[in-house]
Amino acid sequence: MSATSNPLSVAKVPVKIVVAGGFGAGKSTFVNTISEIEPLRSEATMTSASTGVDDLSHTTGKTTTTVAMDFGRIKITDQLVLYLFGTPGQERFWFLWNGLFEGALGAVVLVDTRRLEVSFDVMGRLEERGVPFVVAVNSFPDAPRYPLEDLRTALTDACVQAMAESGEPFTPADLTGDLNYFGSGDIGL
Amino acid sequence: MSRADDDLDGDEPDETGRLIRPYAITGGRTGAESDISLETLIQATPRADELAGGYRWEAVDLIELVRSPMALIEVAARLGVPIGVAKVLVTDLVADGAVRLQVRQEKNYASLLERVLDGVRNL
Repeated sequence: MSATSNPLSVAKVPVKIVVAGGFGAGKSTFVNTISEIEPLRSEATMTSASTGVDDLSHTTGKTTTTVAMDFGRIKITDQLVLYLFGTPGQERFWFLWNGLFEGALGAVVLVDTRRLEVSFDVMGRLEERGVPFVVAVNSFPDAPRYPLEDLRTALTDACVQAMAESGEPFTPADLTGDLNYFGSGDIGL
Repeated sequence: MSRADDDLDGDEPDETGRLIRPYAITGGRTGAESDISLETLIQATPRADELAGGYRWEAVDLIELVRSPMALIEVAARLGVPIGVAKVLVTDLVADGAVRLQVRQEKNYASLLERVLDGVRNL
């Protein structure tokens, strides 16, 4: 297909950022807080081979699953409109969804310091796919506070381990370069 | 939109044979073959109005939504259809010349990242 050659009346550049993280890490709240429209939900029905997907593998042949996606948007300049994607769960299906991470400017991985380990899988997979990401520490009121440097070390080690298990080549320098933190506790939880 | 109508009215079974209701709109096509990304902006063309007279409600509603550019995922959410269905509708409308797509032209990642950062800091 090809678009007509007429220029759009308002030239805009859509930019996609995926908000990832474990269940309950605050993904939907993050999207809701930043979005300037009331957040919306879309659904996609995915068909995939059932290899490696837990209970669905008991069914034969193709499997379908419906994945819900919350998203919001915010216009950041006259030309740039930012789309923020987060899902309320079903993390294990994200990576079957072709097109979710492709073309993304990057991802934000939200972590809850009480359950750091639930973020390891998603970070490992982002690394595998070469999606740049930042880690945001969501400081829940009753969550322990750790120095960011300690968290950085813990998460970097976890990423290296996830990469090693996947058999993909990696360099620790790349990982530390990609792991950046921004302010914690300021997303309105 | 003649393709969707033909498929719907015809006797030929679609590829998958699934009986998921939203896909009745698309004659069973799932949009999986389409390369329209979730964030692709869609906008009605000047021809949309003259074409809209021959369309069914879902295409007419879609055209109304994209008077100013709107991303595919938002179109799907506001129409209340799965993303795959929105893709098929958009693909048909693009073929008719009723809407057009704007994909991200910016290929320079660092430059785009800088522009986004500058924009966010100035919010």
